[in-house]
Amino acid sequence: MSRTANPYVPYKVRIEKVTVENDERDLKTFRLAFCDPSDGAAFSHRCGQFAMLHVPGAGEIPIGIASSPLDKGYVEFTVKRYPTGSVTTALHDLSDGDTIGLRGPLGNGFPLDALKGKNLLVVGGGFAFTTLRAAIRYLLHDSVRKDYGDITIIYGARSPGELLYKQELAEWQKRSDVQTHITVDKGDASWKGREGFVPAVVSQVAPSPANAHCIVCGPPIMLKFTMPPLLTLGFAPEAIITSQERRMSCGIGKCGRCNIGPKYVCKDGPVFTYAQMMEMEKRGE
Amino acid sequence: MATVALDRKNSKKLTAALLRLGRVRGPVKDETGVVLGDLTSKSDPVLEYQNFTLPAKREFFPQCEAVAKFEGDNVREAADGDRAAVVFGIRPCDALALSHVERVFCDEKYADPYFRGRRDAALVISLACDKAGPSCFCTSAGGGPASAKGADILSSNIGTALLFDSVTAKGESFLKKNKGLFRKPTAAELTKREKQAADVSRRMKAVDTAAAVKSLAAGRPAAFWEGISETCLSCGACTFLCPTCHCFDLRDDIGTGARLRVHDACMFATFVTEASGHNPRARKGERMRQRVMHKFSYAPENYDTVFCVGCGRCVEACPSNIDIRETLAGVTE
Repeated sequence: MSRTANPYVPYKVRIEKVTVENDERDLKTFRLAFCDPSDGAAFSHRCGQFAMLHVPGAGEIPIGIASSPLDKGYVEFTVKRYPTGSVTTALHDLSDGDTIGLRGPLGNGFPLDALKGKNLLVVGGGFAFTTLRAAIRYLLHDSVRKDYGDITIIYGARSPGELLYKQELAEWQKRSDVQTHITVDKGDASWKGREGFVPAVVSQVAPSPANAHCIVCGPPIMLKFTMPPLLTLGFAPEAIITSQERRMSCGIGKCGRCNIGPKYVCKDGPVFTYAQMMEMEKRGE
Repeated sequence: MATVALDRKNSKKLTAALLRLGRVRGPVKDETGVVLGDLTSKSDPVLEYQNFTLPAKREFFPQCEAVAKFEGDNVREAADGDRAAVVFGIRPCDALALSHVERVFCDEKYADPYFRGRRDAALVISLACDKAGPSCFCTSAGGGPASAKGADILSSNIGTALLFDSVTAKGESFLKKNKGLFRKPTAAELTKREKQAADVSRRMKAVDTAAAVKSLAAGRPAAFWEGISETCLSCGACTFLCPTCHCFDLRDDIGTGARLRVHDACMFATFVTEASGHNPRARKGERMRQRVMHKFSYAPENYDTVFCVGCGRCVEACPSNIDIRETLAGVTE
């Protein structure tokens, strides 16, 4: 039986580069390269998909893919370390040259092909910004940008030091073909940017819902308070696209762990519209 | 292919024919009662029992198995475990449950190689029920005492003889290859089998599963779930004994270098607890809702059938006497 026929066996990947993203030093971006180049050629993902990262001896975790499909030769994942998370802790202890396992890509991803010609509002909060970063890198690529209308980014973090991908954020802010609004809950002495929570910034920036879709990812509390302003602006629940997280074991719809109502986050998601989310949750989840 | 018969006095010949296929799992006696064990040439299969305490899913989805092995930083797939060539004597409820689990494990996108391998390797011969247990309600859960679905061959014990019907091509092939073992059943034997199944069905208390499914599609308030789960001990006995429950965890065993798949249960408090400590189903009521909704609302929506076969094991094993039949009656009240 070939490995591809066995969905439980990971690809072997090497850590090429580890970037510490925040002041707390609990968010790191791992750049991974496939040890067998043919595995890399077989691995073709869409923005918004995830993969299982396997640290031998510690276990596996589902993590959203943070790099764009157009970033060739590597795949990136930004992982938050939790003191209570044995796999995230083990992964954070690794460094350049170490090898781990990778299964995927898994899940559906953002429907970017179907959104061609649309204006896009991308709203992110905290470290849920990772798959949005994949989407933004893709959308702003020279070969792709012309396929979409206006692009507006709203991204918030607790403090300036907790913002991910700081260098890229600065580059996006310089571009004229994308409106980038960065906000922090509370700034510090050197912070000259916006202060305030993401939902309030959405109302202030007030992008038009005309011919537009919104992709929004963030912690549950942010999502809860961002939906009302989006609806008030006129975005339909079908035009609000979000991504869900749940604990997973298999990632392929069998282990029975990650469902929200009748849908499995791993195989039916992780990307759902807000309209779908409301339908899934109506039976109590 | 028409029904064939085998006199009980010749049942050892059947065992011999089955053993020619390889390892045979069938009903044997041990200190706990009649269990699914290895049949040998000396065994005369025991045919008088209500049901096995443990569900037959374990033959195809063991409680613990390796799905991958890692040596240093190399990971490869695990070798196939010891596969049975024949699984004989499982009840129709367990065979039906097997067909449900197969739909989850072998969907259009990902076929679980371990489940697939075991199911493909095995000839499943189910044994129709000749009596109903006090907690049985298969006729209200898509099955029946002589339901054939999920088996390759359905057999029936009518006392002096066993009757066999092929269900799949694999089953038919076995019966044809061994036609020397069998004779044509008499009209009286066929009538007796019919009557036996009808008698068993009659003795089961009906549960209005369809009404419950309809009611659950609209959801039930949190207070309902809190109420029925009040006495639940979160022990997971119901899920481990359920022939359709298929939840599992994958974990690394450092000692053997194996990536293990182990049975897990949605009734356990930390089943969905995330690394951050967030637990989407922190309350017992939420976990009870998950178990009941999965079987009687999500499965009907995704697979067009309830993921309960009415075997009654959860009813008998629950230390708090939580009875799924009462729960189902309760949702329509």
